[in-house]
Amino acid sequence: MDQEKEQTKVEINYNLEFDARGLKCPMPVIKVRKILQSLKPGEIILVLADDPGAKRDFPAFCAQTGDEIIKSEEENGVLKFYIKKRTQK
Amino acid sequence: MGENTIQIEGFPAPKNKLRIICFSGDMDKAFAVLTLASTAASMGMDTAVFFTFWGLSLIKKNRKFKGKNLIQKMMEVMMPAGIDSLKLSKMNFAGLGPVLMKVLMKQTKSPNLHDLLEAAKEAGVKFYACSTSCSILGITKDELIDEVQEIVGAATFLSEAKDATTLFI
Repeated sequence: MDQEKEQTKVEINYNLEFDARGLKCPMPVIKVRKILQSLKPGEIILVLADDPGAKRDFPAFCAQTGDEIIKSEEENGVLKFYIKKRTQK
Repeated sequence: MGENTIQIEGFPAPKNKLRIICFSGDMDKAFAVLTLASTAASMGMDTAVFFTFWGLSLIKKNRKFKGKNLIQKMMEVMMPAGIDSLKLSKMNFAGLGPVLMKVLMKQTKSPNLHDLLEAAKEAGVKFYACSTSCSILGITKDELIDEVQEIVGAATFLSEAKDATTLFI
């Protein structure tokens, strides 16, 4: 039981994964916005991206829309964003 | 300024409204127009593009000669038939430039003008056409893509653009 708890602390559960690798600006943001529209408030999407612009684009996008990046990381040139759909409006 | 606006270091905070005057009918500039419009609308910004003069080529469905006078028919022949036949503002090389550019877009898997136009439509960008440009060139609403909401004048656009970030491309 305790081990399981530890695991959930490190890993974020997400509802959907979207692989935006290979997509160039502005397509990652545009596609993710479309997916976010289909999610319920509070649901989480994991986005993988490798466009160099994405690093700043997703934080800027979320700040504008009100969605929340709960966690972001970079692994071997691949950016990972865990985005939680906004709960209000 | 809503609470959703952001401040990126080194950039002023964006407004929640974007208006673009698309004057140019050049392929390269069309990329700028449609990239910014589709992204802004996706970010939840109230976004509209006002197509005027050569920019009308971006929203033309096809060539139409009926109802146009001789000079307008000549213009129709000389102007691009639509978004697929735009020229580059530099290095056009009699039409070779745009072909090479399309090949490059494909090779680098970058969005082409069609992708961006579709994205803009889907994200809810509003399209307006300039009334005077349309009447000079004899262009009617049925020649333009269905998303064009209205043919409007300068005053309408300006009052629409109040409190908006406005770009002239």
